Amino acid sequence: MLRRQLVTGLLVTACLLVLLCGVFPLAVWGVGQLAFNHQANGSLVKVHGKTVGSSLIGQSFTDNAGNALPQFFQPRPSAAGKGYDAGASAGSNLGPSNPNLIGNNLDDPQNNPYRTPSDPYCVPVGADGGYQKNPDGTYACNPNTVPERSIAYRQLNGLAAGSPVPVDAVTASGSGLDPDISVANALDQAGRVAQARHLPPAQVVDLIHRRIDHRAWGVLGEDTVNVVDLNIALDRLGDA
Amino acid sequence: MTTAGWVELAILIAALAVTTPLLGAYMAKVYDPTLGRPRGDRVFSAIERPIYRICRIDPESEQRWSTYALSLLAFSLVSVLILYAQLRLQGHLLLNPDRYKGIEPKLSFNTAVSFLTNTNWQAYGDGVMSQLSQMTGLAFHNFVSAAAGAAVAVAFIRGLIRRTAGTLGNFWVDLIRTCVRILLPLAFVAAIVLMSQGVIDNFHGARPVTTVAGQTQTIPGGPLASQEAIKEGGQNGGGFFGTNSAHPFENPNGVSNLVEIWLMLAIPFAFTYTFGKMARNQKQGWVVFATMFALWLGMLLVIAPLEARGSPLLTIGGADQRTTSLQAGGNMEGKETRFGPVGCGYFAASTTSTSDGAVNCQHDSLTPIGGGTALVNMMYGEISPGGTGSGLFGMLIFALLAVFIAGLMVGRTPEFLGKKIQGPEMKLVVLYLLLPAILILGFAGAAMLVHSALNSRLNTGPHGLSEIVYAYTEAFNNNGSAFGGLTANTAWYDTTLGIVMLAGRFLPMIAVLAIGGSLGRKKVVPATAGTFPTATPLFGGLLFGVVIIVVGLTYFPVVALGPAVEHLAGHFGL
Repeated sequence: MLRRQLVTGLLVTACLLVLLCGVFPLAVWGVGQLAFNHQANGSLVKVHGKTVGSSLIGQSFTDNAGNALPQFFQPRPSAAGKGYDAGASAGSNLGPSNPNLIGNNLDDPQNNPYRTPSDPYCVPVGADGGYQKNPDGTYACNPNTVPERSIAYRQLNGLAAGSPVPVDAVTASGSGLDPDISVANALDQAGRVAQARHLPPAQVVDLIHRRIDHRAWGVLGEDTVNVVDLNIALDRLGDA
Repeated sequence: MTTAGWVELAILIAALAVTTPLLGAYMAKVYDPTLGRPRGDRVFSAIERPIYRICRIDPESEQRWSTYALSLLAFSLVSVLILYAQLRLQGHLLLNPDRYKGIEPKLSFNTAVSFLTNTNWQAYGDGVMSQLSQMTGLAFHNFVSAAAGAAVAVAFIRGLIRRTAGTLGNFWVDLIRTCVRILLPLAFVAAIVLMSQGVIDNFHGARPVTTVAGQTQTIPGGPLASQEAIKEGGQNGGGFFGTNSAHPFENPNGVSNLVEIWLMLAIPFAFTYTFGKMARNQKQGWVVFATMFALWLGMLLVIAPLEARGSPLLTIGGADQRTTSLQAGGNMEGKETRFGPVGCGYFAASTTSTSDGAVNCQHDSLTPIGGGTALVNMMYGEISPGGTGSGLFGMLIFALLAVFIAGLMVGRTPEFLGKKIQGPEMKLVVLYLLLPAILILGFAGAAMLVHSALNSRLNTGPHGLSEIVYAYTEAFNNNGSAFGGLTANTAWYDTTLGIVMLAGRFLPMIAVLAIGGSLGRKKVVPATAGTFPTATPLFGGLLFGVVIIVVGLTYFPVVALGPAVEHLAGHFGL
């Protein structure tokens, strides 16, 4: 009885494998290669004939030391590898009240023993008893907390201390590969990018508005700006 | 919540309202030929006939409940061993352009069990699975685990509606028909729609490119669209990539996001119509539908607005979370810009109320009550609308409990669809309802005492408790979503979660088949003035109440200690 069932199970597995894992995926692959070749192969983008990435996969725009390049729009923080590692997609998975996300002593920053003049919510780097310090004697703060990211964002873009920062600019995405930023985030970066490229700010702002990916059918998803496409368009402005 | 968000929800509900009767009626004909010839019968018969011949299955023969269960177990055993072997040996097999090695034993065990049981919990991340393992290993179980759930549900319905019958149908026939006539056509159409939006489908290895800023990046490849379609359509949820449907290649934009949410919900909701049609009692089907729908929508309307409102703890750090015309705002940690907090909320509510478990945002980073709502959604037992088939039989078990409680109140033997519900059935119903409490709370409690299990937490405090409870809840209910901060690929979690997944899948199924077998043998008693009518809104309300009370009483303490404490301690407001 059991033996007959097992044999039937084996035969059914074999038949369904051929149909569901052979015929079906090959048929889908065939349709994709014929009808949606660009999408099925990764929505790759080319510049001067060379593939520079995929418009769906975000990229880092930093120098070798990891500093943001001011002439490029900056994507969101990324938890994928060292940042935008497309072979290691990942979110931070930090919980909503984890100090490594939100900072230390939010209720009572005066009593945060690690506070620095710029960051009252500083979370020190290193292990208990051996926290790293800066040359000026202050604690070195975990750069990936929202307070630290806000400070860095304001500094990079010449915003006033304490001014609110678009939330997408200081939080890591779910995939670590988010190619998009919000329109607000792009506009806040426009002045700095224009300055670094010696372009009139109005021209950069105008470019952003032309590159907004609006919600599909006016309602699905959110309005976004694709950083990879936007930076390529910026480079093209310079070429022209 | 924006106007666009509300309109998106309205489109989703409208789509479900249209597809539930259409798909449900078609499925009813697939399972019950006396209802008429299903569409495409000639084509599908031509595919099925050779399979029956090769496997020596007589499609006309029927099985008693015990044989039906034995076939289910035999098929599961054979197919899980094949998957395990394939994962261990993938380094020596074809279609492995990135040269991934064979997978170590404990991760292979956990992954094989996870896909067998329709859980699709991912203890693995990127850079582990070869394309062959994805396409012929994981995707195979995406189909057949969904089909096995559907088969058990259909056998249970037959038990409810047949009179003095000894058999419940034929497992092999139900399995094959579900794959060939329902899942395959749905997945084919969905895969093409998803590809048109940017989901990849190729056989490239990872390709290195020099980026715009002159760095190197490797763009992954793989036969993804075909797998993505059945991953959502069969409520499996195991991602091709570690970050699942948050990954832009799995879910590239707002359109694909809506399609994927609909795919998760379509078959489970349609099953209520199939049930009504097969029972020749469409009103009964709609009552079950309405109860599931109310649970799903209610929970969705908790998560999405909470995520859109954001976290006061991010505001202190300097983040502007307001929703304006220039940004979606909200709690964006772990979320994608293209979906925003609302798209994440809809997806999270749907993936945890079905047994899908795909994620388009990191559930670990949801607001405390947002994440807690996802957790409670699974604690309902995947019945709103649940997995393929498993959602329906889960809700019908609650329906049996509801008529039993109503019967106790008036002092009559409870009946459902004319069948007397008596001692043997109620014992199995209680077993069905106690199992999750014992296994989830038992193993989560045990993990609290094991040092290495506690070390796996990324977050501490009440959120750390939530991480562990979430893991066992998703495992028992075969959901597969995660509070991903938990490092799950350890000996403790790979093993215990594997055991919980197996128990959570097969013990309830066997109980359900046994109840079906027992009910099938009974006579139908004619309805009298004293019969409690079950195809009424009143019964829907009672059913809703029974679900809330049973689940609430079971899990309130642990939910209070995890999400509720975190919410109150973090000043998240009312």
